[in-house]
Amino acid sequence: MSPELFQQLQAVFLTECEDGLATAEGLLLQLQEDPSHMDAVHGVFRAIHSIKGGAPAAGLPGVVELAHHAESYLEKVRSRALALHADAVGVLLEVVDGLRSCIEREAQGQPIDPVHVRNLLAQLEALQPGAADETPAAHAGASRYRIEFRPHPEVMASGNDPLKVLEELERLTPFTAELLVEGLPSLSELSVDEVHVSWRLKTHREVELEALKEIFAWIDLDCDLDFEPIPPEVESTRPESEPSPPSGSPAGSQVPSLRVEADKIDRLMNLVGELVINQAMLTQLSQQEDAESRRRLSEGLEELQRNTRDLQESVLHIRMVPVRFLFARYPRMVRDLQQTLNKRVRLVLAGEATELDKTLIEHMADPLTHLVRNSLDHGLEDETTRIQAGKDPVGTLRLEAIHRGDKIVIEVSDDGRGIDPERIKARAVERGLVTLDAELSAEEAHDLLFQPGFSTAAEVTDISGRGVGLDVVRRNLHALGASIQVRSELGRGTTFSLELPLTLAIVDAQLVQVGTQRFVLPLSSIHESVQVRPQEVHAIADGGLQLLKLRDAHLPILHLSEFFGVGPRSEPKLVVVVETEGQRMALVVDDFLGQQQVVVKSLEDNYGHIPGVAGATILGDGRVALILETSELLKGASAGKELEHV
Amino acid sequence: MDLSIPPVLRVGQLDDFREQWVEAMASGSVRLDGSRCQRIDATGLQLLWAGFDDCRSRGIPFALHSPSDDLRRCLILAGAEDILTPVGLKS
Repeated sequence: MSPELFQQLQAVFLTECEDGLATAEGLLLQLQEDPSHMDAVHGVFRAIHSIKGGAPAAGLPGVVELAHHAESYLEKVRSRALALHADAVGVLLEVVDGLRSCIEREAQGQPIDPVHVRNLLAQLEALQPGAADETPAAHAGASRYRIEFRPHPEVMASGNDPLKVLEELERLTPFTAELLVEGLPSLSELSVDEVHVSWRLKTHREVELEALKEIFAWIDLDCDLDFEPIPPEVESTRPESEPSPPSGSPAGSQVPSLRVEADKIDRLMNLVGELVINQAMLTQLSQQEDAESRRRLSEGLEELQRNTRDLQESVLHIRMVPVRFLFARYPRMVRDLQQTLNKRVRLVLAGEATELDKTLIEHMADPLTHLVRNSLDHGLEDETTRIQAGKDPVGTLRLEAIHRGDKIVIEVSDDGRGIDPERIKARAVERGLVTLDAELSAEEAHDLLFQPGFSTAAEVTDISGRGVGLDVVRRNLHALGASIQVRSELGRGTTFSLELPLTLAIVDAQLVQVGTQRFVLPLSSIHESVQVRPQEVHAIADGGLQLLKLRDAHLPILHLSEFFGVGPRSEPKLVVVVETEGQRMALVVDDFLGQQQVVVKSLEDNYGHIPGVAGATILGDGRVALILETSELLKGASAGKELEHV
Repeated sequence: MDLSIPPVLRVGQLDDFREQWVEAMASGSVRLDGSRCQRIDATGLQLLWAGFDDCRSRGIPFALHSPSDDLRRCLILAGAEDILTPVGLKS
C-alpha cells in the first residue's frame, strides 16, 4: 500500500473512531440511567468492535488489546452472562477515554501509555468475577452462529417459503449461505412442488440465539434446524469486515451518508464566492448599456441571481451540521462534573437537529463548555441547598438551539441560584469599575460579568471561577459575528443566550460611501438609517464627542471618515444606527450605495487584525471594500454607552 | 436456445418452464433471459439450480443474462450465485 493511500485510510479510520467513540459515550450515558437498555449495549459493542476490527489495518495495533477486552466484557453483558451496573458503566466510560487517548497517541506516532492501559484492563477484569471459570453455556447466548437449515420436501404445501426465512434472517444479521444440493434430482426428474435443497448459513454478526430462533419459528415444524455458536477463536481468524448486503436489501436500507473533506467544501465555497462577485459585476454593467440591451441583460441577471441564490443555499447546506454534534460532548461532561462537585444535575438537550455552519460548530465548543462549567459550578446549588430553598433536589441544566430568522440562538440555562446584581455591584466597586453610588440596572450589572478578570465566585475552583472566562467567551463570540446576552432571576436561575449567524461565508450587507472609500455594513447589525437634522446633534465634551438625539435616546456618534482616516469630519447628515449587544451608536456616512450580498474574505492572514474591520470583500467593479465590525466600532465611539432617556 | 424466465417462478407455475429448459438442453445450449423475473420462491430457485447443474455436468453451454435485481438478489441470498456465471460459452 502506498504511503498516501495508507494515510488516507488512517484518516478515514480516525474519523470513524471519533464518531464511534462519541456514539459509545452517548449510549453509555443512557445506560447509566437504564442499565437494562440492551439496544444501547449492542450499540456500544458495535462501536468498539468496529474500532478493534479496523485498528490493525490503520496502523494502530496498540488499540486492539483494550478494545478486545472491552468487547469481550460487553459480549458477556449482551449474552446476559453478566449484568451491567452503574459502576461498570463508569469503567466503560474510562475505557472509551482510554481508547481515544491510545488512538490519538498512536496516530501521532507516540507509544501508548502501558500503565494506563493495564489499569483499564484490570478494571475490566474486576468487572468479571470468575471469568476464568465461565462455561461455554454462559457464552452461548450471543454469538455468530452456524445454522443448518433443512426444509422438509413438503414445506411449500404449508404455505411457507424457505427463501422468505432467509430474507427475514438478513434483516437480523448479514450472513453467507451455502446451498446444499446433495440429493437434488436432475431437472427432468425433479418434483417441482417439493424442496430438495438445504442451506448451511453463517451469521456475520453476534446475535441472540432467541432472536435467531424467532426468525425460524414459523417454519420450524417444516424443517430441521441446528444452531451452533461459532467459537471466538475461529471468529478471530476470519476477516473482520462483514460482507455488504445485496443492493436493495433491508439491511442496506440505512440513509446513505457521505463524508466530505472540509477543504473541498471550502474550495466550492470560494467558487460560489466568485459567482456572487460575477453577478455583482454584471449588475453594474447593466446600468451602462442601451435600453434594449439593458432589458435583456436585466432578465439574464435575474436568472443568474436566482441560480446563484440556489447554488449558494445548496452549498451552504452542505456545510450545515446538526447542533447534536456540538451538544454530544456535554452529557459526559455534566456526568463527570456532577460527581466532582457532588451535585445532582439533570441535563436537558433541545433543538439538537438545528443546523449550524460547521466552522461555527467547531468554534462554539469552547464558549459553550465554559458556560456549562460555570452553570454547574456556580449556578446550580448542591442538593441540600436546593431542598432548603424548596426546589427540586436535582438541578436542571438546559442546552437548547433555536432557529430564529437568519440566526441561531443557543441558550444555556439553569434553574440555580441566579446572579445577584448587588453582589456584582459590590465586586465592581471593589475593583473600581463603578462608584458606590452608581445605580445599575440588572442588565448593566450582568454586563459587568463580561469585564476582563471579573468574577463573583467566592473561591477559585478547578471547574471555573478564575475570572478569566466570560470576557474571553464574549470576545471569541464577537470574532464569530455572534453575541451573548445574560438573563437571570435571583433564586430562579440564569440563561446565557448566544446569538449566532447561520454562516460566516456570505452576508447580506449595506454599502456606504465614506469619504473616498466604500464600506460594507452587515445588515444584521443595522438598526435603522436616519437623515439627521443639525439640532439633533449635541457636542458633550471638548474631545469632540457628539451625541445624536434619536427619539428618546442619545446615541454616541462615530465619524467613520475620521476613524479610518479617509476624510475630514463633516457635519452628520446621514447616519446608520447599528446595534450590538444591546447598545446602539450612530455611524456617520456620506451616502448609501445599496444592499447586496458580499463574500467575506479574511484580511487577518495577510494584514493581522485591524480594529473595526471584520474582513473585506470584492465589489462588482473589482474594488475592495472593508466590512465593518460594529462591536469594535462601538468601543471607538468612546462614549461607551447609549444614554437612554437623557 | 434462448429461454426467458417468466415474471413469476413459483410453486405451481414451474412445469412449463421446466419442459422448455429440457427442450433447450436438447438443442445443445441454454441462454436464459432473466430480465423479466420479479418473483421467485425456493422451488423456483431449486429448478434454476437443477437446470444449471445439469448443463454444467453435461457440458452444455449455459448463460443467464440480464438478471433482474430481484432475481440477482435472490440468487446471492440463497448461495446460488454460481448460476450468474456462464458455463462452457466461448467468448
